[in-house]
Amino acid sequence: MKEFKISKMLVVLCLALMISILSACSDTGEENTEEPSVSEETSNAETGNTDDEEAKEEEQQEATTKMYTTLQGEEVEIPVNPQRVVTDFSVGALLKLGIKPVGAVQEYGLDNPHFPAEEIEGIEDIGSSISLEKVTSLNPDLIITISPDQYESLSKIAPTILIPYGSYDNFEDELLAYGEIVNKTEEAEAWIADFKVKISEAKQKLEGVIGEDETAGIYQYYEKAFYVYGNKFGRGGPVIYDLLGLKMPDKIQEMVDGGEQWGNISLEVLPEYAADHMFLTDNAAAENGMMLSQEVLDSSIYQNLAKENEVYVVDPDRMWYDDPYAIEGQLEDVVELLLAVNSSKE
Amino acid sequence: MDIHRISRVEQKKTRRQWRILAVLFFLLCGAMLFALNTGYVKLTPFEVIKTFLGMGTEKQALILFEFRLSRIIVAMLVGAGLAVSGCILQGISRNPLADPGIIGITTGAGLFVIVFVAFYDNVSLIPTYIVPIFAFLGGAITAAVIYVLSYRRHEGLLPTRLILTGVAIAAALNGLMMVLVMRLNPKEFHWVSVWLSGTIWGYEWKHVIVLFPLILLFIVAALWKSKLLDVLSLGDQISTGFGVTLEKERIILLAIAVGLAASSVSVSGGIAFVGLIAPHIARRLIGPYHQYLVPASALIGGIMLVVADTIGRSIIAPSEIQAGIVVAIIGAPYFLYLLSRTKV
Repeated sequence: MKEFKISKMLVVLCLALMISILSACSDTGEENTEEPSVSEETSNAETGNTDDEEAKEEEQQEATTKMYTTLQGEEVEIPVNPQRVVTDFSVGALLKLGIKPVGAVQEYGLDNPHFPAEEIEGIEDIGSSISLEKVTSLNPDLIITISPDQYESLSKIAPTILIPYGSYDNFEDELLAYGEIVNKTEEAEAWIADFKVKISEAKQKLEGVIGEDETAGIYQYYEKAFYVYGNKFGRGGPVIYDLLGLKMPDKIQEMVDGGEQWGNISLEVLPEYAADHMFLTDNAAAENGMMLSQEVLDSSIYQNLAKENEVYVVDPDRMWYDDPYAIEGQLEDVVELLLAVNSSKE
Repeated sequence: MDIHRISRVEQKKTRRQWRILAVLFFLLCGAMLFALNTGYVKLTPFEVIKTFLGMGTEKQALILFEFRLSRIIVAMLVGAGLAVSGCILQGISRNPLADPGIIGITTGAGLFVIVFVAFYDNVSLIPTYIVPIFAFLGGAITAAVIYVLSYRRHEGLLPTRLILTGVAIAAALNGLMMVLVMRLNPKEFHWVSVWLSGTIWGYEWKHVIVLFPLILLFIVAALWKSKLLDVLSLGDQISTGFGVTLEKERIILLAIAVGLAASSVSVSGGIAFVGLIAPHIARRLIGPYHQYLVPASALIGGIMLVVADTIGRSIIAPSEIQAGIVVAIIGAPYFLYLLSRTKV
């Protein structure tokens, strides 16, 4: 009986504690941030709109919304010139088109080393699992997401377009699709033309340095195993294979032809997958400030490989993304690496 | 073993136990109201009431009904489901450490869900009611393996063996999950890690509609078998003495436990501690009789997860701490405290 009372009190105490911790936290949250509230944000947005009301009225004579047919075959009514775009992942494409999103996911949308800091300044974090309340409070007029499982909820807030990761075969189609959505087709075409010049310049630089038959491979060391990647799985693949036109070693080519974009191999068979130019990342080591784990560096297989081939240990964060900013940056990185090592060799 | 005396004492306690259940029920209601008022967007209780009466703004209604209320109900159902699942497992295995998370049933169920989701091109097209079926399949296979491995013909289900086998299988399944991680694209990778740390991801009304009847059905089934659970927790030999056909009944109960855990996992990640702690708290409050223990566990599990999910989604908003982590942070010290007070 006595025991029961004590434990009952304890439960109540625990609950009281949780609640007080929570209310304390939400209090400080109130002080720090500018108290996000729907009604307030709405009024902000309204006053913002009155500034360019004239411009808006002019536009109103034309249509302010258009129908867009999504990849899933749905018709979505979206603004012709969206002003407040929220996206989780597609920050790079939108920025390149001159659209600065009002909100994006910090963890995998904004933490991209290729973005100039000033261009993403002021873009609000919507939370790594996408806070629907935060998105609502940002008052978006268009949402672009790669997340199929959040699509339905997001479309309750504003017109939402779902573009799952890897929907487009190449960067041109992808950027043109974004261009069509946000009414920036000209900007998209201009950048693509510009970037194509950069690609051919890069190819020219490599001419004579990298032979036509020389192969390249992309490798990752993770949890004591090696992984190889094809041309459509980020990690620099699009740049190295599709843009610079380097060849895959036979084993990797076989894998890609077989419909696989990645493969798990052990250190022992790594030599079979070896290429003349090996781009190697090690996420775990990179997190600890090293580029490659000691156990790899010490292995005789690795040492032999490094003797016979060129191994480039690259920063996984720079290689991981495949948006316009990232492929620009990766193109420079890869060309620089290839030139630095190989031109002195000749 | 004087059964008559036990049942007489039980009768005397009945009123008190109903009172405890009523208190727990009100605590649950309180927790849900509190959760409704908490979130990234600040809404005053007055605004909440206004919105409920249909006089709020469109956005307030969106946030309250579409984003918060459904999520709170899902959290409550998941908590109740995991807690009762743990309660049943502790009863049939006579092991206080049994919990659908620790012995790998939730991991097995979750693995099936992830495999299913990962190889499905467009997740939003999956009918919601299919996911629990896959979860149940995964959970049932895991439970069957554990059962077979920890059963001895003449000794029955060995409690220690059950836990050890379960822990081993849970570890293996977690390993499998890590392998899957490499297979997935960036967004899905994130999704798996979210699952592993235990978050509630299915919080729309369609999930409530699927989850609610399932959880209710299984909890009613558990209540219906509560006398049997009392007998089974006395041990195999005594149970056989009462004429209980052990094998059949135990498998039915195991299926109920798997059903509860799997239903929960079909909308949430691996939330480990609820199934372990809630029945322990319930047992200390209300005694060992499953007739009361089952509903008390359900209520406590519901309270725990509603509070944990509310803390998780508001403390570092707009990002979230997974409900499973919050449960572990708050639940673990309390569990240790309980252990230190148990005279065993």
